[in-house]
Amino acid sequence: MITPRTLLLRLLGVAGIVLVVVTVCFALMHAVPGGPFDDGRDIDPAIKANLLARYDLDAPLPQQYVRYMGNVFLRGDLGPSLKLRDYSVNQVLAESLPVSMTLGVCALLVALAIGLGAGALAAARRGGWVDTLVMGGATLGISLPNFVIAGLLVLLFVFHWRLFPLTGLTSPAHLVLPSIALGLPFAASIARLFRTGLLEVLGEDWIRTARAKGLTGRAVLWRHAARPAMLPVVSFLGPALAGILSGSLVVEQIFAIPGMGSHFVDSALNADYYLASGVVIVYTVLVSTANLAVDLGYALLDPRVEGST
Amino acid sequence: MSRDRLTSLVAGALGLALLLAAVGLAGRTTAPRADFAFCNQSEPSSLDPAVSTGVPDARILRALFEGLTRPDPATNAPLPGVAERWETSADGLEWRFHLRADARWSNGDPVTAHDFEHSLRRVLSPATASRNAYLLWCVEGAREYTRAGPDAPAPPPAIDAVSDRELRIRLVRPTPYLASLLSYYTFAPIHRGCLEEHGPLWTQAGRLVGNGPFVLVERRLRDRIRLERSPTYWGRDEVALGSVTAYAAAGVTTQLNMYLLGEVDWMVKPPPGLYASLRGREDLVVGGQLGTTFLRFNTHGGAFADAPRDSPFRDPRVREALALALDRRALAEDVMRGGQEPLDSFVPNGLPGYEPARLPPPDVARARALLAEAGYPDGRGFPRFSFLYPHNETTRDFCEAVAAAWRRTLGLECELVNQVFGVYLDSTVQGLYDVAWSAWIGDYLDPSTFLELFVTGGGNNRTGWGDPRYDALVEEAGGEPDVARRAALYREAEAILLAAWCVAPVYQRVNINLVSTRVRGFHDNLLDVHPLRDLSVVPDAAPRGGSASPAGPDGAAR
Repeated sequence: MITPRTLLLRLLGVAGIVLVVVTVCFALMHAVPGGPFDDGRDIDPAIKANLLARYDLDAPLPQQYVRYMGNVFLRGDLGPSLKLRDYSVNQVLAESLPVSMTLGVCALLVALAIGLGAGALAAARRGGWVDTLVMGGATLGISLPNFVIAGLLVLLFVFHWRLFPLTGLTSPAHLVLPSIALGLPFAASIARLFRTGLLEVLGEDWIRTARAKGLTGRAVLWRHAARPAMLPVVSFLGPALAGILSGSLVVEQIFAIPGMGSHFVDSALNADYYLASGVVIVYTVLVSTANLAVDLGYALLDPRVEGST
Repeated sequence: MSRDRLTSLVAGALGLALLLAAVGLAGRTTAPRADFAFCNQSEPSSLDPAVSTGVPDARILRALFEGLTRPDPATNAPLPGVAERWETSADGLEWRFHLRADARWSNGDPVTAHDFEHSLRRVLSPATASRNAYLLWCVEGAREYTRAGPDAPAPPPAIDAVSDRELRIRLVRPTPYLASLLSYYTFAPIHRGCLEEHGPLWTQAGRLVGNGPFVLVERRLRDRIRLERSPTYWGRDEVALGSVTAYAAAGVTTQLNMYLLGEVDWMVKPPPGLYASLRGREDLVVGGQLGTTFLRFNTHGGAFADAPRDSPFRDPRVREALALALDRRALAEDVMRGGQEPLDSFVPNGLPGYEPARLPPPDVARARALLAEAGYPDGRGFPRFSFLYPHNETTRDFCEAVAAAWRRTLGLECELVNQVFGVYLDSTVQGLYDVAWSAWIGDYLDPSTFLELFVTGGGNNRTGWGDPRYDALVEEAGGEPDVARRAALYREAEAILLAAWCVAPVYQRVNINLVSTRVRGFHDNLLDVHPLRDLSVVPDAAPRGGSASPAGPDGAAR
């Protein structure tokens, strides 16, 4: 099991990763030619100086770096947005993070529900046509990018049958299509992993013992085999969450969902230094804590695993 | 771990997830569909007129605020806004604006000349850091005011409230288009009390006090902005729309889908690839834009900061040859395929009171002869050169077609270089290119917004070209109060520019709008400005989109 000490070390590790990522991000953004106030027109040096001064961008880089890091780590202040001038980065994230989290969580639920169900079905009917169908579908699901799925969903459920709304996020119905588009490729991976895990476990001697005791196939599958077979799925959840977060920017654009994806892309393209850096920090924290949580869950599922891996 | 613990763990995780989902959705109620909804292409950078930049901002700001003048929805000519009339002194240097008595802020306060004095000076103040401040540098003392450092402030510019209802502006040079310029969204007044009470956050819904035809009801970041007709606006009886929703959706396919579903009544710039299939629809509104797509030649040869390098582009005959080898009509009609028209001038067509100077027609034979004369018969011995463009699919197609034309007609090989816009810009500013794709969109209806670009050493020149005769003509035209003579001087300057072949205009940029047939009062115009104030909808007509056919998926985000 996990000791408090290993947990603390892991948390410190997360903080370290954030520090490194922010530093690299800061260096890269300032290394790219073109600044936040370049828009294709000549800018009078005085006007540019006024703008730079307004946003603390006129100091030497090391000084900017120290001030920025101080604001972020000591005060939790991520600075102003240079392109959304009515907002601070904290405000932008406060508005968009819950939206992205909602979408991400729903997509993950879709992935788990469909993936586990399909995986179990395929394992139970191993070698049959159901198995072939499910696994064929899964291969297709893995190879289709989410924007293709999104396009098909829009075509069928918005234009053809008019069952779901297209854009925005004003009711649970708005979440259905984006969650499916975002979650489906991961459902496919989960189905394959779970099926393989189950088949491996179902061949073990103790399963034969359970069957010999007279347990039904369903009871053996869900009560005895499912837990160990979940291990590969759980270890996949970390990368899956990272994939869902980074994949969401395309889905967010197609369904016009005001999440972090659009801010991520636009801030990078527009050299909105503070916003880009803020979004990167949030993504880094999310992905590293998700990986940490996965490791913890792994240890809970399989006592043989030490939390300090 | 027992089964129960696993179950409760899973249940707990699910519960947390649903809670998160609920929080994410909280406060997101659906207001009934607005009278008029449109895709605004992006989130406005700001709702503070002084600091905002960009077209999505302008659409909202023109609804929330009104300047001394406002643009005519059909011609862009200045109409009375808060000023009901204005007059100019004989030398064109002093303007007096007379404000209407019934102009009101959305909180009921009267709009006075003092509000304009404060707001226009604020645009120019270095503390405001307005990107657009330079547009008002025709005002006496304005340039010095903006440029002054914080330690040595300059006296305020000559924008003075003579009384509550009269504003006087003194200029350093005659600016016949001042009334038009003042209809620009940057020069709207803001409510001083609101700014002082709330500080930088005054633009939030519930706080913002405006004087325009609409008030801000709701703003959800990167989602939507909801406007409702202002009950205090002086011209409220002329405003037909009771409510308006502006969506920030940026994906162009998403916008088209919203339009086809009838969720919005107006979208700007449908995907270029679909233009051919949209052509002929009665809801497609296409027209020339006040914008030119052209090529820049680096006449300096190498980086502007360095000593001139030996380069064939220093020879005007080479530049002329490359320009004459291009079939502008084919490039506009067969390559761009979005309704663009070939352009044989630098200043686009359609400016009132200005007839541009013209280029000779494309002529491949003459292009070949010129190239031979310059020492490169059939392109022999011509070094491989760089052709720079900003990364974008449409631009790439265009540049590839241009490069192919040069290869075919002149036997020249170039290397296509694409860069992210910011980097591309930096390269053109520094002169790190041989030929560069370029575009310029004018700010206001006057040739100066195009011709001032190419004065010697100007920041937007970026060709390394300069001619004292040209500079003198542009300077003289800028100070000429007689409108006809002014236009003639600009035309003469344009002729010099074209004869120097430092630029090769190719086509006039185009405005493409999809507007529901139930919308009235939507006019194509050069500046592509469509004030919400002047739009209306026919209530009972079925919304467009009954025969909706969907668009394909968006593809990867840029």
